[in-house]
Amino acid sequence: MTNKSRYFLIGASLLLLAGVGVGMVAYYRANQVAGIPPGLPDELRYVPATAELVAYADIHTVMNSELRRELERAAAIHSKGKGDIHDVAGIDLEKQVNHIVAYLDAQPASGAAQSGEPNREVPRGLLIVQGTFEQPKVEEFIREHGGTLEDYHGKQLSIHRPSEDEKQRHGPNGEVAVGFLQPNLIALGNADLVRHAIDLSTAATATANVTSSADLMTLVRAAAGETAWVVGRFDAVSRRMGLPSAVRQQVPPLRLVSAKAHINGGVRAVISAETADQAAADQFRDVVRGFVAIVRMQAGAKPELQNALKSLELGGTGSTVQLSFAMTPETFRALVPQREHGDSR
Amino acid sequence: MRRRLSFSNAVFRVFDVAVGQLLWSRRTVFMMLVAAAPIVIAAIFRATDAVGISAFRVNGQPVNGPVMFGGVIWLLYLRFIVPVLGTFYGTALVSDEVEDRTITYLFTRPIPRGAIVIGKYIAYLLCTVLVVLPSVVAVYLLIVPVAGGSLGATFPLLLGDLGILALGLAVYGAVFAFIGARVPRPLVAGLVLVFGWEQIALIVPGYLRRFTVAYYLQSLVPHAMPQDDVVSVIQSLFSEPPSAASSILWLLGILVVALWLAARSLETREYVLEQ
Repeated sequence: MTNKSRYFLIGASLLLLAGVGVGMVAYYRANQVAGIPPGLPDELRYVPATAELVAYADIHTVMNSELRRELERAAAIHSKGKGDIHDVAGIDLEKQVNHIVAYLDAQPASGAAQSGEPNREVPRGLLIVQGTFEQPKVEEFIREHGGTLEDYHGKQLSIHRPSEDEKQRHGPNGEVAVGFLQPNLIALGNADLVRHAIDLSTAATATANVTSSADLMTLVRAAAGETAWVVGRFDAVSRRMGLPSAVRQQVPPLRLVSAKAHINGGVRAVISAETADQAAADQFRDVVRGFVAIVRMQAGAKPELQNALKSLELGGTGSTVQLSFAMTPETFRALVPQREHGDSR
Repeated sequence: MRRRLSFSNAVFRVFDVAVGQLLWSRRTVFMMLVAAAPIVIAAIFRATDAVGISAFRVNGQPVNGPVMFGGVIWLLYLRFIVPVLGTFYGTALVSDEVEDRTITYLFTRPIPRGAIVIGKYIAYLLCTVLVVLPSVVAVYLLIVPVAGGSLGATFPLLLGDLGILALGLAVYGAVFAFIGARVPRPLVAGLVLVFGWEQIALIVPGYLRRFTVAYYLQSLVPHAMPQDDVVSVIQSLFSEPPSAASSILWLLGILVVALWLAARSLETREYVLEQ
């Protein structure tokens, strides 16, 4: 090889390495500032420290799972969710989405929540969708469906503003926005939260996101690697669900709840609850044990549920209570109504 | 009598000579132009943005840097630069020696004939990768920060792009090395394959697309396919992309088989040189 060739190859290699080095430094600086531990979804950087409920779903794995294929063959659940999200943002859940991180932000306690009534207000939540999108196409789709475009810190937000009637029915949080945080990352939800996510995408700091919430992050770390998980503060969960105060009084004081599921041929799930102390955990275990006994008794006549019931296991140590179970595609088929003949959906 | 070189030594010797031939031939001017064009476009895009004019708009809305970068990867690199460089250089690996009637000199050397193809192929891969990938990185650094784009957030996408383009150059190069070793007018055959067969097969519903390199390569791209023309829209309508693992396996399979066939062709074929 001549010196000329050698210098050319070395020069080109150095140019390549320098460029990649600049990108790598930018990447590590961005991650270091956001404080996302390895193995967790990077989108957690957009979840504020005030989040009450955080969820993750590996849509790509779920869509390619044996369970989904089995259910599609048997049940009439054909792409209901897929249709919904397509209507909202022109996104094909099956082809374009890899995973989703969602959260519900703290909301001032309303009269409905205090009285135990289900909360009818639109939750202040955000859906962060990671996948392969074509931004102009999605924005055009929203514009065609009545959304307006707004420029926010150099990024385009597509906003759907509620009518007066919608505001009365669902409260003042009805302004929904779609914004691209990155070319492969869409934020969809409450317009204020989308704006906040854009703020975090340009200047994320460790104190501003959920990584600074130690108790939630412990549960998130424990759920890392599963196909889907949700972690949250029990107060928020019970308020969202509108649990009657009579029921809430029966349940020992819970701090945090989480559920995680591994999905492939079937579902293997673990539901955990963190109580204030060990005595509360023991009390809660007794409540769950009683509940499991009732379920077993009621489902005794259904042979298709026997395998799932056999897999029910109550455990946990200290202030943690855990209930695990597994469901096979056969169990799902038994639970989900069969598709009628001639139903083309 | 001279001692016959081992296969690996022979590959290295051929590689050593071929690098110089590839880099300082007339084709290099073409390669440099092809690699520099996206950098010039990116520089213009950046400069117009710096003076407050959005150079690229879709439906009246300015497009941000990362989206523009994805478009450049699709439209310039993946659909044009990689297949064209693969065709021009891959087909030339053997056919140039035949056309220049210098293949006889190579055959008289005490080296296995298969080593000629492998050595030249490695030289091709090194040269094209070291011209195309720095060009991609330069475009990335110029375009991505425009309109609020983040270098850090899009860095994993860049790594994916670099890997895909390198794999594309490797696979197209191997396929065209085989064509160059078998077909009389390999450049024409290569261009027909890239801009004829692959384009048609990708939009025809059914299994035909599985017999193209582009089908597996495009399924790995982390950016959305731009719906810039009717062909792209039809392609995306019928698109059922394979999984990343299966695409990589298929591409590696095509690479190994094509390279083996190219080496085998050179070992077994009798080349009749025109007087």
